Amino acid sequence: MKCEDCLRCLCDYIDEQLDALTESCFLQHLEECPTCTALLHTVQKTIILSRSIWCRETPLPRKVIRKAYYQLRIHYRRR
Amino acid sequence: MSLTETELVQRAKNGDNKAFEQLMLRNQGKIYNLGLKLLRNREDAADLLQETFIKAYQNLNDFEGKSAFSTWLYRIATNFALMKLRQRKARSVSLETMEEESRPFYNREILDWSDNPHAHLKNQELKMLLEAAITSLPPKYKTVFILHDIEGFPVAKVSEILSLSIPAVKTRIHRSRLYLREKLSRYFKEKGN
Repeated sequence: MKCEDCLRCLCDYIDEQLDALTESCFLQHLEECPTCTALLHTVQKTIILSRSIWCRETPLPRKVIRKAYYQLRIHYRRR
Repeated sequence: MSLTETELVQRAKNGDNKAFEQLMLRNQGKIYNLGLKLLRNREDAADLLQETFIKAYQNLNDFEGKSAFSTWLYRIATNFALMKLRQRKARSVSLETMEEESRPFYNREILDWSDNPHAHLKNQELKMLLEAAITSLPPKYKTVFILHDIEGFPVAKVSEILSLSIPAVKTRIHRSRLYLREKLSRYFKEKGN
């Protein structure tokens, strides 16, 4: 596997979607290539950081719920 | 006894508004939070929720049950978000810049900053930089990245929500990841890793 092929497989590897043979070629390439290894590590870290940014669910304000249902109920009457 | 989603949809289609509201109640928190992530503005997220309710109600008879009801709601919500994001075009990085910065690089040295002690979100500077970079993604990349990498939807589900082919979803995820990685790499490079 060359670096170009490795880059093409990167997404599927991270998402655990590679078939066993391709994954083994991918991992073998990583052992020999510090550039692709660094790329993989930093992409994985980017995803972890991105996922952590908005990990807490924001509570839905009552005012927003009231307004949304009020507007919805206006449409009930129109149906 | 609580009804299943399919039962509630059937009742709602037969004119039971309480059943429709049950469906909204089950999904409202997730839809609002998706709106916040995509639009980064409480008022717009509230509008997105309201529009999703109304559009879902008006088009309920078009829902054929081929996907989960929540997938259908996400589709309505992301379409609304995409429209809003396109109106704010100026706030996103251009497609050309984004694609240029996520271009493959085979002969360049790649800095491995993944173990850098500053690579965490307690580092406010880094947090703000990453948040701004995600916010600046062009709309068609941002929706895919947020649905897959932040909300955790599998590729097939994102393709269903956005009516995109699986290869198109994968390409957008790949480019978004490389673009954001590049932004963080520049930060660590400037800081001397």
